Amino acid sequence: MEIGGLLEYFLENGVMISKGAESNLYKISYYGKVAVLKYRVEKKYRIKELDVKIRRRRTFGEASSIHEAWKKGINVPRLLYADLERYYLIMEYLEGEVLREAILKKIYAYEEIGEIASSLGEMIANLHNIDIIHGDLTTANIIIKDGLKPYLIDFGLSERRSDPEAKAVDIEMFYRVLESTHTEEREMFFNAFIQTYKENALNSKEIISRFNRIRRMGRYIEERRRRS
Amino acid sequence: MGRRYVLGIESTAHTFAVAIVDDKLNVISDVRDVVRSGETLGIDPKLTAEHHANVAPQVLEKALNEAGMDITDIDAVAYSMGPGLGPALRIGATVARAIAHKFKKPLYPVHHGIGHIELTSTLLGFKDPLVVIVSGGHTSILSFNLGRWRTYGETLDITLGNLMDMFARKIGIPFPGGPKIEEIARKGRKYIEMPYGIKGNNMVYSGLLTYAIQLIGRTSVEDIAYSLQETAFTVLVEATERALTQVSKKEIGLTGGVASNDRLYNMMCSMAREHGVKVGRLEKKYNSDNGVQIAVVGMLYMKSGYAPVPVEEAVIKQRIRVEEVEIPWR
Ligand SMILES: Nc1ncnc2c1ncn2[C@@H]1O[C@H](COP(=O)(O)OP(=O)(O)OP(=O)(O)O)[C@@H](O)[C@H]1O
Ligand SMILES: Nc1ncnc2c1ncn2[C@@H]1O[C@H](COP(=O)(O)OP(=O)(O)OP(=O)(O)O)[C@@H](O)[C@H]1O
Ligand SMILES: [Mg+2]
Ligand SMILES: [Mg+2]
Repeated sequence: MEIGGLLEYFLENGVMISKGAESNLYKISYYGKVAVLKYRVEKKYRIKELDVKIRRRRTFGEASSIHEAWKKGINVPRLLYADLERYYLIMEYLEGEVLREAILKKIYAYEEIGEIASSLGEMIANLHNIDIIHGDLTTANIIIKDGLKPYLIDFGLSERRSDPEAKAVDIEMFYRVLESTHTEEREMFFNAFIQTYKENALNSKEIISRFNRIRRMGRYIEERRRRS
Repeated sequence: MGRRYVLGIESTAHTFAVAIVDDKLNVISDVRDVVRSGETLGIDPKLTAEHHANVAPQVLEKALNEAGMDITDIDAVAYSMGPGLGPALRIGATVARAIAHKFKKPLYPVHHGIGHIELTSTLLGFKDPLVVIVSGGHTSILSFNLGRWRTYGETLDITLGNLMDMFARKIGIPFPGGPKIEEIARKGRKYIEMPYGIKGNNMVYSGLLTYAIQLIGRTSVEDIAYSLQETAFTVLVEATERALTQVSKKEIGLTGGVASNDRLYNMMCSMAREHGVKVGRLEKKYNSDNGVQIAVVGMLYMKSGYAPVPVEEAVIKQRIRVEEVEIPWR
């Protein structure tokens, strides 16, 4: 096989499972294992310099965060391979349901959603405790597997940061998603989530007080500008 | 029933405006008066309110004259209820209440942002667009879902308009600096890497501004402006693309002062093309605050049979969010 042909080989033998905002995902066979290949595609709207930088940085960031989290026993797919020259990575395939669709289709009972939210709060606390900010916490980036166990995917926007502000913003982004996409379940879901987050996150008091401050401010950008 | 008309009054910020639209949403008249705030970014609430109070009678009269109508020919009155500056909002609301009371006209309070959104949708002929508002006051991505307009992404700190204007001011360009920055950026050749602020579908611009400012004097201003623009717009287009894939809409309506920027428009079109999505932007004059946006929403309320509010309940809400507003016409 020619050098650089590995990606083409996988793509030819894989099945596309998702075409997202910045990447295409394929279900492939990786040395006999069912796996997912995530390929960050070129975007014509951005200049070449930025396009290349973004794709490389995201692929690297995602690979290292998944690997780091996995080592600490957090529920994420196992990283199998990453190619920073061609902007793709290969990870374990998680057989399960994407949480967003599962909630929208109402496949879980009320208590089941609460249980998922609780597990999730603990999981995000553990992630934040090792100073990984997910950067794109949405219910579309959570896969439910083995009953009601949440797994976290899509670490392309993740950052390594220890400051409470970054952690608070991470949670606030998640709150917004619940607000716009799961309006009905938001309150119950978030209460269960934040409860276990509080119990498990280091420095949770500071993080939550910042979260509350951001919630107040974020809404009134208009007003802040007017006063300036 | 013959043609029906709604008179709309806008007074959230620097603009006091009155417009009349008919039931086909045609613009019959459109009169505006903008307070001169000097070369500053902020505006003084008190001076603004004074200005609005002073010009209100003549703006109203001119709007009626332009339309060749008498106030009694109007079928309803709409006014911007917020979000905005309290003192400024009060002037518009007072004028609206006075007309409604004296001439027994139905009265509709209108959310200013929904005015921008529905005007964009109306003028572009879009049915169910993702709306991107980029101005000095807003930078948000909105979409209609579950009965309301909802925010799918927005700036977490400064707006795209602020970013342009504040950088411009640092290189000696008077407010509003956006158009000049676009010109200068066209001469840029070298891309300088700058902080790329994206959080989910939301934008973060303050780090970018600080970074660009500290480069002034150390490298060519053309390259800085070019890199600033490329970075800021790429963030916005990426956020829009993320929102788009989540809500799967087929149209993108671009509005607000920064929508005039051709580079931004072309980037948006390029992104949309790959998703088979249409992009449109408004004519320049409809990007700024105006009475038409308020009158259009008033007309939508009236046509959908929505109950007008009694004069004594016609309040202002300085901080109202789009999510709080019921949309009976969609
Ligand atoms: N490890 C995995 N196992 C099974 N399915 C996966 C896995 N990773 C991703 N998927 C599926 O592919 C979809 C998209 O994946 P992902 O969220 O990583 O990409 P994306 O949303 O396109 O990325 P971005 O949001 O950064 O553009 C997921 O919603 C999920 O359905
Ligand atoms: N070609 C351009 N490129 C970039 N920015 C531009 C361009 N033309 C105008 N702008 C910017 O648009 C902004 C003005 O927008 P607009 O008149 O819609 O609203 P505003 O009064 O600032 O805010 P709002 O209407 O939201 O209250 C200014 O920040 C200006 O610099
Ligand atoms: Mg995703
Ligand atoms: Mg406006």
